[in-house]
Amino acid sequence: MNNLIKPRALKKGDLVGIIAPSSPAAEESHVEFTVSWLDKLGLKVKLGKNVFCQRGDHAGTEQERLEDLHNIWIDPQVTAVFSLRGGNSSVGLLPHIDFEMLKRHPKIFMGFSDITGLLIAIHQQTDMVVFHGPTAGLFFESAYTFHYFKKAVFKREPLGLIVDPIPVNIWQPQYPPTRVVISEGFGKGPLTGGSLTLIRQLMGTPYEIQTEGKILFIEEVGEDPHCVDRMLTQLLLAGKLQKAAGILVGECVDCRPGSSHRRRFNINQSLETVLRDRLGKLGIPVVFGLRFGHGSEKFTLPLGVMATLECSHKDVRFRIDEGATL
Amino acid sequence: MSARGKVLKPPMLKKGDRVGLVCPASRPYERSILVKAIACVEEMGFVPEVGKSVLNINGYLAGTDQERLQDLHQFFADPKIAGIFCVTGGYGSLRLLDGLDYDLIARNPKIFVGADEITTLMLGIFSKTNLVSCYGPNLDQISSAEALKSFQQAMTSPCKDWQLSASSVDWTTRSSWLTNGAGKVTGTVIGANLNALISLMGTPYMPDLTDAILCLDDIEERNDSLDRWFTNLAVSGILKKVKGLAFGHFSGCGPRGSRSVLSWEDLFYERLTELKKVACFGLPFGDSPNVLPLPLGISGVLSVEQGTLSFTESLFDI
Repeated sequence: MNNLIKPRALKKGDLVGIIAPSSPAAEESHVEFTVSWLDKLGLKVKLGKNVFCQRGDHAGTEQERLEDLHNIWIDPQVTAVFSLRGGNSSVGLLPHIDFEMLKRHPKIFMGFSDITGLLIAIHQQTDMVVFHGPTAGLFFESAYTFHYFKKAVFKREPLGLIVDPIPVNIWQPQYPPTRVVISEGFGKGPLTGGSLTLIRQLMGTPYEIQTEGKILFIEEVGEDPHCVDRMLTQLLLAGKLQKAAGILVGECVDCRPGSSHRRRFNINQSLETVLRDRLGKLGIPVVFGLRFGHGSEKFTLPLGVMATLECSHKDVRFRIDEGATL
Repeated sequence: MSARGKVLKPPMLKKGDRVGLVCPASRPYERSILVKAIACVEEMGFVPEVGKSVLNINGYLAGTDQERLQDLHQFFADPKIAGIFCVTGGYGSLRLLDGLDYDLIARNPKIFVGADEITTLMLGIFSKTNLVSCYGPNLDQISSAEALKSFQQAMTSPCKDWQLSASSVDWTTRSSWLTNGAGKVTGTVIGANLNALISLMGTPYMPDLTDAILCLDDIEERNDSLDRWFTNLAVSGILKKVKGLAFGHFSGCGPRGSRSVLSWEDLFYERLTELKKVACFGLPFGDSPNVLPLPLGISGVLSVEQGTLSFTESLFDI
């Protein structure tokens, strides 16, 4: 933790870079919303040259996406690098990334979903604090997301105690509740995590997630419960979950039986059953439902900083104790 | 694969042998599948013995992990059982890897046949005991008289001259299967469902794939998921280490509602070209009517021009 490199907090007038290391923007003009919101925050924008490249669901070739990442990152004027969106294909870049260069130029780097592949790799290779938070096309999707996004990139203070969003309609609460206790306990450690699919995709590579003594956060979207079982079981077989200090499971949008476009089973069980079965007996605190992931309400989680999870059936407290920027 | 040492081979089957039927992952989709599986085994001249838990229901699993393990252990331990066949795949054999009694299996080598997600058991057993096995078919994948005959032959003959051939369309004598590179490569043949293989990444059950001929198939997956997993193999360095790759059937694989317009074949092909890896597509293993059994763990030769995968040793201890 002593080696942790923290990027400088943003201030008005700063230049932020936008790249598309995974999938392209569905429509080019979508970027206009992002640029106008950044403008409202007093930030100037530099777009990567290949942001609009399209090749299947990849935003250009590996070479094109890599070039943007390196060119934007090395620019001394750029103080933060935001990913336009997630999707697929960021992990293919990892063997070619110049991590030494990234380390020499600490910057705020943010994204989620497929960007998890970059977050974990960059954090582990450079000791830099990186941010699991909305992509550049999503930070303005809700007041809740916007609140934590601004706090994470503009303030030096720790994000502190994480509170839930105000329900839009109290008569029709959204499943899951925000704090489903899977296992009680107290845990303290640096944060790491992201999309479960991406954590799985890094297994067996030089960028495999390090979880020992850490508060691990995971989230998923559009996967059937048995697929989540497969991923959690793989992590258990690899010893990745048993030694964590605590586990946060995010909202997990569209993870009910039959929601994925992949194989379907005629008999199934719920995600909650899978979580209780796989994560309920590890002897560490585990909570399910906190609002981060693919829902429109998501708080930002900086990888590398200290956090505390207190989990009892009476109360769940999750606190980010350490500042993420200088 | 030199570091692994000598492989352990099971005895060959003969007519009248008793065979254990198991469901180490999911339950058969419907009861009649089990009836057909029993008939199929009898038709081949073996005597089926059905595991106690195959019709148990525990969510998507055929019984609890303990129940499914018990069926496997009982059949491996029983001297009257000569081989073990899987009825169906699905998901769940991955959950059994930490609970399997590998010493018991090593003391009682038997021919074990499974496909799909059962890949994880076959590779786990191979990693821990050096016991070779047969990658597929699951009994519910046998849907033609030819497939049944091939399976019976593979189980009851030394199968040194066993061969899988990519097939050209009827009107041509030229090779019309997709290939990358040229020539022949020799190596240990490892057959796997891609998703199941990926579930072993980073675990102690992943076999060493150095110099292997890696044979991959999958069922009903999206292009972007297949791309993701093949990238996982590339970034881990495994694709660099293997001698060559053979691709079987990828039935039901495609966009499946995702936005990816590039097919898995295009995406795989790009990586194979970049790595200059010898590869052959369209071999008859995986989920299809003309499925052939694929010995797992023995030495084979992949010939790109001929579109064949043949074997230089027997799967059995003969």
